[in-house]
Amino acid sequence: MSSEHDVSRRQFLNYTLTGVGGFMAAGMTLPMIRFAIDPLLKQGKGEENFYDIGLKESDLTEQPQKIQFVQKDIKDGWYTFDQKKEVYVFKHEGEIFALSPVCTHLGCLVHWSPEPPYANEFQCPCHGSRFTKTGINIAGLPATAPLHRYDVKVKDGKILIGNLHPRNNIPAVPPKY
Amino acid sequence: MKMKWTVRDVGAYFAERDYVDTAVVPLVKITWHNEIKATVEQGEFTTLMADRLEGQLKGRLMLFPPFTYLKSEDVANRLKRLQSWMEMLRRDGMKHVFLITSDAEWKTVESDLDESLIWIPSLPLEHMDPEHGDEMIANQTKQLLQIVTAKWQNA
Ligand code: FES
Repeated sequence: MSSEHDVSRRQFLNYTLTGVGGFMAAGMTLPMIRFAIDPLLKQGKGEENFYDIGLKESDLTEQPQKIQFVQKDIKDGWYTFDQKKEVYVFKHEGEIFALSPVCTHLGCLVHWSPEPPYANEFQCPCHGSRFTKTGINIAGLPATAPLHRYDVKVKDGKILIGNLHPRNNIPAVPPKY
Repeated sequence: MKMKWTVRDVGAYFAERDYVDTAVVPLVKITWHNEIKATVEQGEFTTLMADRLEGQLKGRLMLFPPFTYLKSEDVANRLKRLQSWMEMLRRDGMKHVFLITSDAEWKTVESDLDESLIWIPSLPLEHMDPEHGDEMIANQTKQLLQIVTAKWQNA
């Protein structure tokens, strides 16, 4: 049975987590995460659906921002459901990018990091794949394709996200680190 | 790819088993006698967190169906049953097993669960507006993610 005086690393983590839980109950927010609960959904035959992700063009930065949005009525086998999705949106050399965070290796979600050890790259927490800012896979790591990219259009100053496309024709880039 | 307890996902597992080395098992208490609501709240939160974790890290972990136990089952017995799950998982290739729960009773036997227990206090989600609730869940998920990835790195 558990010994009272032995504070293991795991217990420490548990206590930390409890503390964090309490702190968050006090209303902490993460500035980089935004939510759009009601997407603009237009059903049209053969026509692309665009979703309002709750971001204005004027909010765009050079740093990728992680935005969450809801996509309605996704079908998966026997189930139909609404799915929360994440997208990284930013401006790069005047062009708007909206990248899917789903790692092209086995589907974990990548994270953007402006800081070392891998500054200005997307990193996958699962098997260490990395991607450049525009989502191109770095050679020699498990992922062999770039992050998928969403169509983007701007309407009345709002960013709308359309279909997702693979970009298999872009070659991997050599590692910087 | 997804990694849940479905025929399709398990098929994906066999194709990529070298990369999938982690099992996640939610621990969910069941009662239909008293403190029903509090028990359900804990179980629901546990399942939700496990689900979110799978959503983020599906390429490396497999989400198992919950390990369930009656409130009336004594702790030693629960522990014994759970240990046989863990033994099986370890023997059959899972390098890491994460037991996720909001039930504080497991903390009393934590030292018998070789570093696998992750206890997360459940949030009173029913009293929150959806947007605030979402944000808190996202924050909790982030913490959980950090614990899991830290354990991977230190392995
Ligand atoms: S899922 Fe991203 S590296 Fe394997």
